[in-house]
Amino acid sequence: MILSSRFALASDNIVSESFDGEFVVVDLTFGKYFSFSDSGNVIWQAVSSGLSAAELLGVDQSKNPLLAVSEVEAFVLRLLEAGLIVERADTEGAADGLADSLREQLQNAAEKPDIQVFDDLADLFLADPIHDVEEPAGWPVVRPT
Amino acid sequence: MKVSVIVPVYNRERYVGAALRSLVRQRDDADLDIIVVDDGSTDGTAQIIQQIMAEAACVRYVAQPNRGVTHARNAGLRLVPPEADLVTFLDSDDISTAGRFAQDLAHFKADPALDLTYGLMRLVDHIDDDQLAAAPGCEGITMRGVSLTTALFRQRAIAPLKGFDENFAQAEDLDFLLRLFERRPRYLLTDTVAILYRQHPDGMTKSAHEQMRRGVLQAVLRSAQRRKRDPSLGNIPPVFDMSALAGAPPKFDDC
Repeated sequence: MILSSRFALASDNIVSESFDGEFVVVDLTFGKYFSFSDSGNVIWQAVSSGLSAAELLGVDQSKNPLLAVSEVEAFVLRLLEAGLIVERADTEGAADGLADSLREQLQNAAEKPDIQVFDDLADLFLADPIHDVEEPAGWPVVRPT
Repeated sequence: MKVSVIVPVYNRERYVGAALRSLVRQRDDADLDIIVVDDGSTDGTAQIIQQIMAEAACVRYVAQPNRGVTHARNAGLRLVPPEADLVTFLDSDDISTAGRFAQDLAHFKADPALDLTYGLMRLVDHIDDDQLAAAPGCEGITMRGVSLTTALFRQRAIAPLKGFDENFAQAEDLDFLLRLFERRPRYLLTDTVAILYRQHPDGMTKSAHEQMRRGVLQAVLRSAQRRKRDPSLGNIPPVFDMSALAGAPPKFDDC
């Protein structure tokens, strides 16, 4: 079921940014941040863009032994448990061609899907230079509590 | 103890004089070596610096074509003499508070193994540039932010970092601090208010904010990746404390 579900970022307080295909995700509510293995980056991009894991995997999952369906399923579950994504009710898909591109990247992955969680910079995120908001009066951006 | 203070400057004729005078007034507290790196200013910045140099031999000046603050800081680092015990920075629109060096140098004298002190900054909306102090009646916030200028670094502690990463257009200071703290330095959080940070009424432009946002996230990602690759690196200790900014409105206090 998880494999065929579509997801979205759980809230505006989940910030995801990509640098050359590598993602950092910040949960501004709890001050945690997350990084991924190479295959984890691909799966994160897929599910946060509206692709289901099943669409990402396609029909031939035998090309990369690191990518057992159970591993992908467990990874998506961890994303859900971490509060980074929520299941979407609508069924609108992702952009055309994204699945093909990501599928190719996934086949070349060298690491199992994995997520690293950090909470050592919570005090930094409190001052929130992360949110894309206006700074009207010259004082630092302050995240509403 | 010899302290090299790197001051990058670009078109700051209005403020750079006060910034440099705030350092020079402390030359009896430390053997100061003030390295001003002019990043291609086109206003009267150079003339103001020359006037101060005429009265203060501890100020050095180097000019370079405009290449950004990160490159300017690296240029300053390359000019730090081997005999400098400590290195710090000052932004050209901020004020180094009186007694800042006297207070924190004592910790280095007492503890030869100390790698850095990390003090406080006070954000204020008005600075008296004659008195080099917060203006009467101003509002301010004191916090332990992300700042190179509130730290005093033992030169030997930052040498392995090989300067600032010039791939960062913003948040190169955060990247620098994260790389340092991952190495598990011996540090001391002090209650020294090291600088007055000048809050400009026009604030940050939207594009600058977006650059800063990307820079912070990139620095955080790179730190996470380094620690994954090298388990000998440590997590970042709780050195940042911006709780004064939490809540709405922030906890301003009077000067």
